[in-house]
Amino acid sequence: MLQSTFKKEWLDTKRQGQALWLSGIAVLLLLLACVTGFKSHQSYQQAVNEVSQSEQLRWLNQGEKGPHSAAHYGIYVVKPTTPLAALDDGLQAYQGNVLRLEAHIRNDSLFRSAQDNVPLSRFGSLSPAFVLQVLLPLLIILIGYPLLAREREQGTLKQLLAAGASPAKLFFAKCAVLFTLPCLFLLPVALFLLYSQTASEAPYTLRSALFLLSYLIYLLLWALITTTLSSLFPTARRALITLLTIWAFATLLLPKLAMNLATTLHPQGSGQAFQAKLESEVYTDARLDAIEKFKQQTLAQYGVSQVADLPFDYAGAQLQFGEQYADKIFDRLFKARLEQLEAQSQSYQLAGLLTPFIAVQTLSMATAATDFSHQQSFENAAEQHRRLMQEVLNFNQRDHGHKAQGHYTAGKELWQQIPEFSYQYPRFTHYLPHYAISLISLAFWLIVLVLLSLFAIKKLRLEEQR
Amino acid sequence: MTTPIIQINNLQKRFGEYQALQGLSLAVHQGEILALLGPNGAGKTTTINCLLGFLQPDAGEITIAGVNPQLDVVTARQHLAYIPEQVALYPRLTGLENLAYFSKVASIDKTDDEFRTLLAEVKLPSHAVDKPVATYSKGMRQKVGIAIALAKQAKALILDEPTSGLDPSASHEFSQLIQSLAKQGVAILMATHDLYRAQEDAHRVAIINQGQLVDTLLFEQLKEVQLESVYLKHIKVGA
Amino acid sequence: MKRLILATELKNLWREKLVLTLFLTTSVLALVAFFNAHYFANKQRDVVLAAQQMQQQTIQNAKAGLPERLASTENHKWWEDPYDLRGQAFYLMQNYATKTPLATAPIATGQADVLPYYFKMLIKEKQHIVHQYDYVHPLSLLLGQFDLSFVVIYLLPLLIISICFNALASERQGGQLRLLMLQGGSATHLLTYQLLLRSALIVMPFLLISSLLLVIIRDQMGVTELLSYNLIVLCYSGFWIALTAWVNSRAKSAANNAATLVTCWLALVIVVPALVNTSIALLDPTPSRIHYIDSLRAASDDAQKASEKTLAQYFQDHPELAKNGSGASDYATKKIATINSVEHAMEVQDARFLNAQQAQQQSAQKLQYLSPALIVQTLLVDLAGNGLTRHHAFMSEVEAHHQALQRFFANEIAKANQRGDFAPCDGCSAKPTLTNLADIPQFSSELATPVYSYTPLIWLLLLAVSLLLIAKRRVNKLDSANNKEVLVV
Repeated sequence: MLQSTFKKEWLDTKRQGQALWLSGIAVLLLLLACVTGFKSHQSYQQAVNEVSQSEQLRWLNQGEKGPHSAAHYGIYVVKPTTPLAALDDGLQAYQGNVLRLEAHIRNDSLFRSAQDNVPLSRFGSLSPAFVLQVLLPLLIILIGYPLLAREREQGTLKQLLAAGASPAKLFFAKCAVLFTLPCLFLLPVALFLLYSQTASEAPYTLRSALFLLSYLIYLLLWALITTTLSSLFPTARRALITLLTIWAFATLLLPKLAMNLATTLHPQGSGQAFQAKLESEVYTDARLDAIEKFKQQTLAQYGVSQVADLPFDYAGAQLQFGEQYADKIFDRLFKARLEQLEAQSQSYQLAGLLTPFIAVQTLSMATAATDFSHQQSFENAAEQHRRLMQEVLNFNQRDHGHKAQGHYTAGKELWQQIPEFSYQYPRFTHYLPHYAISLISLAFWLIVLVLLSLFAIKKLRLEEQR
Repeated sequence: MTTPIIQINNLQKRFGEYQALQGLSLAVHQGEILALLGPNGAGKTTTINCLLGFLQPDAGEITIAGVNPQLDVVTARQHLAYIPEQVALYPRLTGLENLAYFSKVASIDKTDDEFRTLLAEVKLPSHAVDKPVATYSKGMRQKVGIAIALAKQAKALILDEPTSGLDPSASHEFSQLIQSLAKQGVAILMATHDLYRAQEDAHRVAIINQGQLVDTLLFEQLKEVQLESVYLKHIKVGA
Repeated sequence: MKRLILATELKNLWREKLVLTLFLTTSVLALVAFFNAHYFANKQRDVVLAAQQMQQQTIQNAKAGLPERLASTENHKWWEDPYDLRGQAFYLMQNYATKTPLATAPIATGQADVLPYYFKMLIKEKQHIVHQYDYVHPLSLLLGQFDLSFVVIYLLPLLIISICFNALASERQGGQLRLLMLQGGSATHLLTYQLLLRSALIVMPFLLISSLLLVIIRDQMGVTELLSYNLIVLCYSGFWIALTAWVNSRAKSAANNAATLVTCWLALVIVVPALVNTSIALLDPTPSRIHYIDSLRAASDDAQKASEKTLAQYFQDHPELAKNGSGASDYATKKIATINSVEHAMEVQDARFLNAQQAQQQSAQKLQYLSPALIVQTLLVDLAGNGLTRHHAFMSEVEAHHQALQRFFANEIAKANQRGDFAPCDGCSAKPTLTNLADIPQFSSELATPVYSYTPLIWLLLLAVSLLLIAKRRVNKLDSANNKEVLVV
């Protein structure tokens, strides 16, 4: 009976003119989104490769100069991407993709492409994630809202039930149709993920699997809620209005309000105040005192009274001490800022219990490595590289600077000692605890909607007796 | 013979391939109750829609108190009242408010007390007058419909399946109301499947089938025949 | 008749508990949207004030500390000396170029959360100045602020649709329309007054409350701006009311109307803007900032190589190791020269970005006519002072100020060089070469209130009027007695 009901519903839905052209539009939009996403990802990947190589060559061929000059010359590193970014570019446009690594300064990443865009870019661009998260649920609603409600209005529902049709099978058959149709849209996405498994160096299998699974559950949730409300409401009109209200709240209003609330609950100081703090806490009398103390300790350690008498170039040692002093302050201040931002992220994720959109959006960006946490991973790795650079260069100055006649310069042999910065995102299991709330939210919604469906089926059973 | 208030001459109406009305002619006179009988698809609803000005016939002429609805629908409708099978009222407004609203739309300016009197005349229970229409039974809604017609002091009243779904006592009350209206000189056209009510209330019965008038029976004739047999004979003949 | 229909319609809506619900909904939306955007704008205003205060405080502190500095015999390192031209120019200067949010800012945040609104000025390549930004959680940038424009563009149309989709349709389906017309009423009048009343219940409280808040809470809210805001919202709402009238005039069921209107909303507010945005990015793509960095590095390298010797290069990084003052003072002039050279070399690249953005803006201005949402967003963002027009004007002022600072320091350093002020003498401390920080050019903005083009509003009105005329013709047909088929059941 389930099979025959499913077959009948499938035929019915197919023959609905509305379902056909709505699906057609959705397919076109998804294909366009996939093509533009893929193109954009490819050109970004190309730029990353080209400029990373160019920077490395530039670093190696910067010529003879003092190690600390090289430290100031620095290097730019570019954030890598995963193939899934073609499907969900997440926060790419709102986070800088380039980081400058230089002496004495811990920089924030540069060039958020959103700054180069026109104001209407805030309407969002057509990415596969946008189609899957925002448009497909609407397709489900517009096709599914009359499935049971109209049968009730027309009187065929009572007839069906009186003829012996199982309410549960009827419900699930209709829900299955609503779920199967949008799943067809996931096929090109699944194919792309398969292709990227074979084509890219790193397989990202877990990310791909979780990406696909999140969307499957998300579409199932919408199929469940649409079928449930269609069966609970007496008229198709009321079911439609309620579903559309839920959709608007879930995808448009609640995420915005949730993030605004998160930033209010966990306010972050301005960038201007942060920069002012960085300057005022690093370059202080305490720092000068500490440097002087270091100098005295070094002199005492080597039993000399002047730096010129030390068996190494004191300038290099002092430079490294200064770097480490500043690094401790950077760690403290950046950590405090990050804690506030992480608190905002967690607060936003918690709102996933109010709308599954937030949960799936979070997981989608996370698996595509285009969210805030992955940006932080990249920035942390880059900072570690910066410190390694300073250490190698300062120690080289320390160890060799005093041997030079005149000013000490180094060349390619030193520059080569610093490994090329090549960053790959850790396996997704490393990040799982961070997204626990979103995973729990999806599970929570699944349980709630299954229970609601059972309640709706129970009411259907009573329908006969009305 | 009194003047016909509702006059239909040679009415024709085609919908695509289907000829709904084929030269229908009939008249309803002042103070007369004409029951219009016919099977489903005979052309009763099409006739009513043409009378009400919601449908333009292909040929023929209609007058309501001498006014052709196709030429002057506003004036024609001023002489007309209509009670459908389901009297359409605003469910959240009370019976009194519905009566007042529809009457004022027709520029009938009465006070609330006058409207209450009207509702009492149609025997709407007094406790229901200030309750939302959503709580009314079909019979009560019909009474409000009749009150609207009364307030309008229409010369003609068209009824479409008025006793469908009414219990015997409501049906009897309805019968008394339309008899009283007829005595006041209102021409009443009643499209119905209720042969018993037609036989009891109508001064004349017109049977239509396939868009044509096939028989007319006067009140005196109705007493002598089995209306059902006559009706079925005409329908079988037409089939 | 008008008063009768309006009074009865209001009574019906009241008893459906819709009047209070709608009033509360739109009021709450207006309040939340306004205050959220107002606090956001105030946060930016506070940052601007803090920056300006810091600038003034630094000037005052320097003034207060000058006698002590003049009397001091300590050895001051110039890069840490606030009274040294070079120290101020390259490291210590507290000089800000700021853009204060307008009184109308809560209307539309626009790009205000993404575009920088203050710059800490130093004598370095302008490319390193103008790409500063305020670091916030990128997710809040993706999702945007909940401001009045969000309610206007996205939510008001949905509310209008939800209350108006069954205007006339429910009377038609329920049979009340037939009775009304038989009593002498008209479908045209009924639809008109229903739509006017229902949409007024949504739009008027929102406009009233948001306008009152703008006037009472925002300082220096202009009458013209307030009227413009109201006009834009009314025109946009008018379009949606006209669309609802057109859909209702098709004489289909209420459920069909709802589905059609929601599809229109989805198309005009979500899909078309996203498509337009995607097309603009494809047709006039912004050059890659990653390649820009590559070009900037190459230009800097070339400029550096053109300067004299590796030694000078070395002094540039650590002048404390310079053996004599002339090496350090040459350093400052050379550095400014190098900066100029890099800026000049990057002009082509910078122009590419500006041209791409201008091309995108022109495309956006043409394509905005495809969707009322695009038209209204552009108008509201410009009205709020958070669009590209004001930002470009601000950036021009920032670049001019950057040039002014460069000129000031280049001149003063050259003069000080000639006087030998940078040469230290034995037994004395370095001379202060900048005793009054107030002499440093300060940023002043003369951003004129942008002039808006209201041509797009005329298009919106034309659309609305066309839809209304078609709707009127269709509904008049319902009132006509000459219909070949039954339109009013």
